[in-house]
Amino acid sequence: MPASSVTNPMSTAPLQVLTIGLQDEIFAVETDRVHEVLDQVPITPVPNSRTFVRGLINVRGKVVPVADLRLRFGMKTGEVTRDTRIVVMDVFIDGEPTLVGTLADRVYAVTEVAAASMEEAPRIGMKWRAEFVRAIGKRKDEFIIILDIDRVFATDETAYIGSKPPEAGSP
Amino acid sequence: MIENLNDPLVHLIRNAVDHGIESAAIRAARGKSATGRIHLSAVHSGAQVLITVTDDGGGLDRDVIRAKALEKGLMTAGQELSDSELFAFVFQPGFTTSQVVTGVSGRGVGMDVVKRTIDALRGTIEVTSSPGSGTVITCKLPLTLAIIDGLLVRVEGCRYVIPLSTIEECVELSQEQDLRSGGRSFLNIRDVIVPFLRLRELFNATGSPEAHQKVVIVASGDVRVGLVVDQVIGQYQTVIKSLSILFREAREFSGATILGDGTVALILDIPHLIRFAQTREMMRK
Repeated sequence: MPASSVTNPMSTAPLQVLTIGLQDEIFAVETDRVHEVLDQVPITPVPNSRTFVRGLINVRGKVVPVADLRLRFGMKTGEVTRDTRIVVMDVFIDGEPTLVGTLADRVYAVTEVAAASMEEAPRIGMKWRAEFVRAIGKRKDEFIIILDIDRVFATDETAYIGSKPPEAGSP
Repeated sequence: MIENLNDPLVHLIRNAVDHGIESAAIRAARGKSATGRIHLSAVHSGAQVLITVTDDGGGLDRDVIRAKALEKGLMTAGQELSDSELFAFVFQPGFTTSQVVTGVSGRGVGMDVVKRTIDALRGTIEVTSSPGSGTVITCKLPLTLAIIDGLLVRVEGCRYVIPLSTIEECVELSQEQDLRSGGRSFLNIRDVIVPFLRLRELFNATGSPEAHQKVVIVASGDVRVGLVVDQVIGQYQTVIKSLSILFREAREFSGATILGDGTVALILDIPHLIRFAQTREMMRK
């Protein structure tokens, strides 16, 4: 894991995050990582790629992959609505900085989460994999799930690189 | 590009010296001059540069490679393989037929790295060899790395670019051939049998095929394959953008490009696409 992703969740400074909605949950990504928020653009699917990767988009001449975080969190793909946005952010995948877009059902705001209100993710009582969650913050009566975005994109298949041709693993 | 070629070439030459050229006594017995010869050449060929390393040594030993491949589980006992398929095993990681590790080579690392470097430069590498008279290793590298000429095709709603350098011709898939091909997928092109792949199937397109499908005949090494597409749009010069590490598994695509209307199209990697289709077919059987 790159150093930037392991900032201590218990540090005292408030964390500045961008809050996004997926289904009926509120997720948050650190603003340092976010490049921009785009309206819907045509996505070119990449056949036989990992299921949560929806395809590629053109961000001012750069070809950027788009992931559907809903699929990563065990939800169903959402309908594209007027509120659907693509959040473009910096992610470290296997230590390499990569620009990726993620689909969000809606984007709320840039907000601060007080350090005192943040708690470590509980190991049980969550539908999704605990390692994707950096901390759970509280704001008013709501919970905000602060993502460890690097882990969300981590390639679990790292182990087989070099030992087995990747194409053999495709369906 | 030149810097990237340095290590692979050094490796190939070392290999030729160490594995290829026999000792002076054996050479004399085979009627060759006592001094071995390694010939290095670089030639322009169309949009490619061919770099060959030729030695007049003992050649690759098919039986040893076969035995080693069997031992490593890369092939099954009864499997008949062509020379080019057999020789391709030397590019597998950890594959060495040399019993002794010398200071120069024989550690089983190297050829796979050479191949990976050449792959990264979007080139191909081939080995030909005849017993007793030597080995030829040919690296084919594209001349320009950033811009390629491609043929833009459409499969359902998506557009793909096929590198023009791999294309031999385009033909129409007649309805008759289309219907008959339930069990077999061959075309008869001027009395030569050419198998074809339906990109719709490979790319999991959901709709039903359109009438008047086209077949783009591509060649990779000595394999000729037809790719069935919905529409051939036309020639297109593309600037290659590399794919993100997230698509490491999708080896069938060598990159992406941005089309005139701002959308992204994928560039097909023909050798990998063919291999992908073969693996898929084998798994289905």
